Amino acid sequence: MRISTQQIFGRGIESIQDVTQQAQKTQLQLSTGKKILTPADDPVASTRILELNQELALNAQFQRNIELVDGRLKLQDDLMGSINDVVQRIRELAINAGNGILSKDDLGYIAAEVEERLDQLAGLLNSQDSSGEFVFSGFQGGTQPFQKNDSGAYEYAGDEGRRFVQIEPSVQIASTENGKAIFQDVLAADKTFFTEANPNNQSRPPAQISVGQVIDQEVYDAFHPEDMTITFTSPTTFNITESSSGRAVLTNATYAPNQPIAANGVQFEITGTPVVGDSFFVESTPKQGLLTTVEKFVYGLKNFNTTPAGREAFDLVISSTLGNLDNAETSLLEARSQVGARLNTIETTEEQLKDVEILTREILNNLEAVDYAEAVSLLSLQQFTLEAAYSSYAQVTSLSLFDRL
Amino acid sequence: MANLIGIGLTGLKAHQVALSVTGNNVANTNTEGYSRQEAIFEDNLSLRNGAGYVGQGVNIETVRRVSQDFVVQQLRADTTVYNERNALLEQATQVDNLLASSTTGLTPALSNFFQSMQGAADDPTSIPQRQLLLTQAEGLVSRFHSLDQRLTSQMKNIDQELEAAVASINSLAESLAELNQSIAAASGASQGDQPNNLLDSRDEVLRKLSEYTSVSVFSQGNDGQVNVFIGNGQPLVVGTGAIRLETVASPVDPSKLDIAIVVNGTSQVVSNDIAGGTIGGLLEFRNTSLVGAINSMGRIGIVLADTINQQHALGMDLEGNLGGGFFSDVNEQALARSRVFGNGNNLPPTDQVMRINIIDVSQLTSLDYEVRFEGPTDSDFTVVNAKDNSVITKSVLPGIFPANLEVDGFQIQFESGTFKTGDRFTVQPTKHGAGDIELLIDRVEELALASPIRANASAGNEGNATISLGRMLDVDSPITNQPIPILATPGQLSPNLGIQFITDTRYQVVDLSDPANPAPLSPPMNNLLYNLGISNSIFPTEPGQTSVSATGPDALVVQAPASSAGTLVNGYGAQNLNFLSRDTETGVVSSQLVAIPANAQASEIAASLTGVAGVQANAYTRVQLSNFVDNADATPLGIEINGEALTVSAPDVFGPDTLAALINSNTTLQAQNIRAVSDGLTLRISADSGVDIEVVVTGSGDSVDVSSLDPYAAGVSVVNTQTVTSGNGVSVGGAIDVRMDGGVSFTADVSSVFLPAAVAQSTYLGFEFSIQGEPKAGDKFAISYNTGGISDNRNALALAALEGKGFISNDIVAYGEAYSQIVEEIGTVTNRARLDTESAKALLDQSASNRDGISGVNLDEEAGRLVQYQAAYNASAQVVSIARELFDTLLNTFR
Repeated sequence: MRISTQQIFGRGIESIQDVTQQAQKTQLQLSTGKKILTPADDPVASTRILELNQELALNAQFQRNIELVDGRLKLQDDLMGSINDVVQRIRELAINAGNGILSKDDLGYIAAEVEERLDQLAGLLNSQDSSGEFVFSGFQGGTQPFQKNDSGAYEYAGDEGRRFVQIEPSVQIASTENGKAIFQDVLAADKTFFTEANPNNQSRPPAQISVGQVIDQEVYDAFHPEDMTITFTSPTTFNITESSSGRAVLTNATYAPNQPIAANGVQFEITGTPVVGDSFFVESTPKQGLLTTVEKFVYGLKNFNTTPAGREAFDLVISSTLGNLDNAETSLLEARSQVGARLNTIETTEEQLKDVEILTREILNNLEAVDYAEAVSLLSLQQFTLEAAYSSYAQVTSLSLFDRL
Repeated sequence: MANLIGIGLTGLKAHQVALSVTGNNVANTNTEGYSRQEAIFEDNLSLRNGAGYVGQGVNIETVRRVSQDFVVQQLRADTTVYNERNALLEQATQVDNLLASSTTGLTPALSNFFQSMQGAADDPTSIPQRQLLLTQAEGLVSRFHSLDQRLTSQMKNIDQELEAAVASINSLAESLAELNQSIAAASGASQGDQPNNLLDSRDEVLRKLSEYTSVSVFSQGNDGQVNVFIGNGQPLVVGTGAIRLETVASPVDPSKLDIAIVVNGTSQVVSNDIAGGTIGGLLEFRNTSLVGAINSMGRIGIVLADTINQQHALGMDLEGNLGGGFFSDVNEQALARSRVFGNGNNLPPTDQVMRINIIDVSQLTSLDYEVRFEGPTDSDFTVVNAKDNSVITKSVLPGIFPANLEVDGFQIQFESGTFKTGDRFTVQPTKHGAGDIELLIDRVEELALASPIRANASAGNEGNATISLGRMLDVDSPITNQPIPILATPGQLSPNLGIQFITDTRYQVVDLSDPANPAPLSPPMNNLLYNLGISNSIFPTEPGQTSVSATGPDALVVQAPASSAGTLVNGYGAQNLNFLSRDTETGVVSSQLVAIPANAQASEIAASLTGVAGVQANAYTRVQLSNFVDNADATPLGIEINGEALTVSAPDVFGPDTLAALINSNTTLQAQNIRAVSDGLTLRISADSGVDIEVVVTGSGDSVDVSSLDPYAAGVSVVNTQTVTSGNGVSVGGAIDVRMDGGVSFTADVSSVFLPAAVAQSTYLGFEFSIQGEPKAGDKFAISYNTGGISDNRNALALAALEGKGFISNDIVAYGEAYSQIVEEIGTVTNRARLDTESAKALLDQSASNRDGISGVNLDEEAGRLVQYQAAYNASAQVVSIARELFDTLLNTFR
């Protein structure tokens, strides 16, 4: 077939360019380590690569989440350990105090130490983490969970929030625990109650109701689990009714600030200047908070009476304190074992995540990474071809009939 | 001999010409479009003499260019295909590189955003984490913007290339017209000899033209002129006249250029008639891949903004306020209006105002649409897919504004203006989505990572039931788009709610505005059944659910006492209820009639109403007995409740306390779920099933007051009271609360138990809680605003979870996947364009080589020719020389 001189030159150059282009691509693959340079090289694989990279990023985030949860859970575990130590010390003191030969003075010394321990306990329960968030206050991270109310008793000011953290695509794990579940919802040795002022009360400053105590357990047990509502009908008179039925317990009783009010075996005080319509609640509960238990113990120690009746009442205080402390320890133990279980879970999850990471990287590598041996040999082949093309080009183009004329 | 000289001379002359032709070939070896030429020798006419015919030498008949029309045509066709594919490849490669790069693609920005969301969920009170989230959100927004900007600038770039191509075509067309003229003139003058170089020039101009678009060439007459058509038969050059092309803003979308021809001074868009070549490739890429990529990117932007906004609105920020928008609202007026505009060819008046609202992101496509008013009346219109003109829906304007039509997840809203037959409107729901996304939040405190609701179990609970943390569903009612009242006041629930267990398995939800006086809700949630062993969802999760209670004149009224014990009736009048149910999918309304007989018990009415699809009725009866009068004669006061005689033997006194104990210990009454509570003065009896409570008084001269209690009023509220004397009795009917699913409603024919047209109230509160475990009577749970809940991360977790959720294409494709799809599509287009370009290049090389093989100059060949012609020239010279010698010989003979 006929061939024109232009073709001889043009084709030679073009084929050299083609090979150069291929060699350049191979070189680029070698220098980036990637087989696929643009999605067009392999659209399906490059989509998969995008997805795998996203998975890896998510995996890394989950591992970071786990680290964070790990830190939080360990902090909680440490704190609960310290709390347990203090509870045990108080328990020892209670056993000591129960020793019948101790004098009122001795009990006074014990009371002093228990008060110290109470503050220590409250301090531990109000622990903050490194960023200043209260550990045991649920969602109310900015609110000190155990606060003294106006009558000097500790109250739980947090909520029942429990924060979860994503540690796997479909698994969330609790990273915080609220103080109510561990330290408040402790089964009480005896049926008891707590008091509350209606937040809608109109008196300013608001009238207060004290923690109160059961003065006759038998009478109170008979009334339990009913609740009572105290409603002021005038600044100086109030009614007490059974909350569920509206049955009158006390009608038109006279109010005097800070005077004990007794009803259905319980006793409490109201202070301040209530106005008409103000109401307070006495709610029965089968639970008693850890701090309340210690407070009641201190109250018992301080108000020890050497009369036989007083001794009997004191024995009751000791036995219920011991029972309540046991229950508190059980609750602590449960919470700690839960934390331990969570620590186990995140440990296995972390291992799993690492396995997945290795696997994902392997798949990614298979899809994306260049096979160096193959690429290098390809490059040398292209180099060889290119050299051959150069020399043959020079030879072919140097041929001319004119040279022979 | 003179003859021989003549012959020799013809040989000399002819070969001189042949040598010049060859020399010219050598000189033009590298001239683009040059066809080698050859001199055609012809022997001169022989002359007859005695010996016969004797040749008269040679002459050059013509100088012919070596060219085959078929090969030239093939070369043009292949040039067109190659340039088309190559233009597409060049454009596609740019987008391809843009999308997949880790520095320019969306994936890393999207990943970073959701990672920082996870980080914020880990530690919601941390300001640095919040700041990081905000920064990553800004990064995501600017990545959307830069991608949109790069893709849009590629549109502009294509416009510029189109302009350049059109300018080139115009100048080539003029050259062709001039060449046609020159060729016609030359052909006429030369009488049959071809003007080789002009023909070569014209072939070369045509070849250049074929780079821009496909070209068809037809010869016209015998004077060598050709007519040239481009694309699908659009005439460009006819004889010596060239038609001008120009670029104009597209009437369908003024943001891009169309190609038009100028006829008599007016331009007419011919973009659709132009195919092949650079222009064809550019248009193809623009109309399919680029518009698709821009729209798909926009769709991701819209879906992301809308879904994140919806979830963020359900949260509570660090300052205790509801979340509000995270990104700008996708249906802001300016944005909604920018999605639709009138066609540039619409006749005045063009006063129409329209907007496109995004309704359901999962239904959104990446298509553009067109609304066409095609008659017969000015109100009839059709919505078509702008890409393939397929009809999506036909509708009619109702004549009042605003008029709405929902299509593929968006709503076309005709706001005002004169719509008339012939009008067309371009609808681009997603085009600007990526460019329009803006971050609305500017302070870290505004990030709503918490949930605004929380639940607390009362410390006094005896049972072990637990309540969930709660889940937000809506802030605005999906039905009315108005804020749900309970969350409408900032920073609080209005009102706070309490869940109170009346028994171990019955609970009520109350308004705790005044904790001392819990009041029933409106609509009521009284006497609800709690199921042991499963998780009980407390609040309705269906936004359309409504509630109607039996508040007619007969309901809850205690009739006058009668003596006919055993046949006492509650006095509820008969009525017919007509239930209408509208299917939310099809809109079909079906009706069902429920006939309530006279004196039916509330429990029976509830049972027959519950039989209606989508209706659930709950009945319960509450009666109060008071003023127990015993005249202390021989026959003491006695009471029969539902046929059970309750008496007390001395010394106990018959009163509410003893009566309560008797009722609660009576197994027959227990089986009817009847129980009683006494406060020492009055006795309240309730029946959870809604059966009538029949009270008959025995004991001569004794009496008891019987009242029915209003379950919808706070505290103890009596509807009416009847004094029942000895030997008489009353039967008291119960309350009925009817819950109806969305689309269900009813009317009554008369006013008795139910009012004829009772107003149905929405039960939807926009949140959901569940209780499980074993509660005890008296257990309480409080639901309140999450004031101070700064450590709460529930909404952050919900936001982070959106990353993996499918929202796009009917809820199956997640944001990242949608982006991968774009990458894959563009990658595939680029890959195909690459292969196409390679094969088109091979074909082009083939036909170029065919053409060069035939028409190209080969220097070796020309060298041979030179030698050959030189030899013949020398020989011819020799012939002259011999002739001269012959002549000399002859002269010498005569000397």
